[in-house]
Amino acid sequence: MSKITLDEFELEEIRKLARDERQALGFVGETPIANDIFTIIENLNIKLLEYPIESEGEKPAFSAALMYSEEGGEELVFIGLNTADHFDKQVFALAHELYHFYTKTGSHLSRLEDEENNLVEAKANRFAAEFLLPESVLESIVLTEFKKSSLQEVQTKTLLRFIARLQCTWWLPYRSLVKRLKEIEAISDSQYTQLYAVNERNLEGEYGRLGQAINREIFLKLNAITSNIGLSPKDIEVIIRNFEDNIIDEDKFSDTLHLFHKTPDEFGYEFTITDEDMDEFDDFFKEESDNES
Amino acid sequence: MKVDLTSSNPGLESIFKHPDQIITLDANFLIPPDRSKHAKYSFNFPKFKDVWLDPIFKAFPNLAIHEAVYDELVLPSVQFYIDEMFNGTPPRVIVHQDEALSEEEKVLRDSIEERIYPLTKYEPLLDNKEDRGEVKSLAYIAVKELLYFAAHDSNAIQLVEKAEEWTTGLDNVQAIKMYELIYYLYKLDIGDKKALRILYKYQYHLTPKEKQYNPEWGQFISGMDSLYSTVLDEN
Repeated sequence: MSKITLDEFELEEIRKLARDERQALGFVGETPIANDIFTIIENLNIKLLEYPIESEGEKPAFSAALMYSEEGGEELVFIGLNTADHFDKQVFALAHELYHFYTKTGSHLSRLEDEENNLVEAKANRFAAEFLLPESVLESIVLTEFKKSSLQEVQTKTLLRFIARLQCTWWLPYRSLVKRLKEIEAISDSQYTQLYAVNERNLEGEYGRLGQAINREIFLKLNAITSNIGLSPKDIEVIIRNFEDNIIDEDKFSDTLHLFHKTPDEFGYEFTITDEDMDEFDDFFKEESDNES
Repeated sequence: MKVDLTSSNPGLESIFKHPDQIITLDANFLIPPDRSKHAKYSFNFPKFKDVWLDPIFKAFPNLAIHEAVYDELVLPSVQFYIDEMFNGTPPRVIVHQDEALSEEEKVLRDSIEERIYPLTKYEPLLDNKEDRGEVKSLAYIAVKELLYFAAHDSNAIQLVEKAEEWTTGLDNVQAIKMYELIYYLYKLDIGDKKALRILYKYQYHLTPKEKQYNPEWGQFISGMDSLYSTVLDEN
């Protein structure tokens, strides 16, 4: 597969989209989105389904997927997030899916050819990086910290500390930050290669120890595979209302909640069977096992 | 699943008169029910066969399933049972096959599927398994102008009962529910009456909520008796 390179026009379009959407959401200048990505998704009325889907190889089966559905003329938007992935990559994957949401691309219903698909995915990745940490903000941070735009003479240790601080503030994956620094030409090709080769997930390694020294709580959170199973409280409420309005029956209600490791009794619905019925079932079903034995 | 005792089902009335009509079954009529999360017990295949499958195959000589429903029967015991029925002499089950449709019928089937699938979990582009059986069965039934679809799934039943409102194109299809056939078997003394009562309780009168809106067995039988008194008298 050939590597997709975005041209200056495409990059500017993405920068503008990210800037406009950040502003519309109230994130101006050097305000990190970080964990607020989850609130943004909820406020955009996107239903987030979190589920860990393990893969057979090293990489997760998928990071996230955006789906559209229509119900009674109303469009429903879902993001399925694979939580068998590191948390910082989950945050990035959500921002990536927001590109598809804003541009109405990438749904499983769109049947794009590979080449076109790769271009869209490349744009979505660039958008995610730009949305979480705008290029202009990164340039400004570099300039403020180092009093120059080039970090080519900065030693690796210092760069690792800088990236770890950026990561704990902006919640981007380590490798995305390295890539961003290369994109703004703050680091050289050889620095990029050297930094990209770092095993950033090794908590005992140099970068891992640095990250923990800077902000242990956040750093460990970003490096955790959360394996969350969840649905936002608002969407759990939809399941309960569907049951209360007899749109789904008790079995579907239980089964659906069970998918998210919840039970009807947590919401005040106990499906207890009377002793009399249980006695009757005991007799009826026991007959069969007696006959079998 | 709600039991409706407010009005009679013309489909069931007609079946009382002519039980030899073709009744197409959804998969959940053939798969042993499992509500063990509520009731601790589930029906195993031999029990379900005794209580339900043998009696319905005895009562109705022209039961049918669509080939897509056959594909949904993952339990080897159920598949084996249907194979036996199909290979009997004469065959005891009809298997609807889409290949048997003419080109014109296929066009009509596609247009009906097009209307039904958005109301289900089936997505023709993906041809996924979820709700595939009911979409394929219903479209086939409508194309072939067959009348009855027997199901124990509220969504499948609604596709038929709300055909006009939802414009599913299934206006001429009639839904037959499990409780209606339980009543039929009970009245015609086919199968074990106690077992039919337990099956009714298990499927319709188990949880506190079901006990609120569904009648208990005695009320169910007397309510159905009132609804179908004329047809029973004629019989």
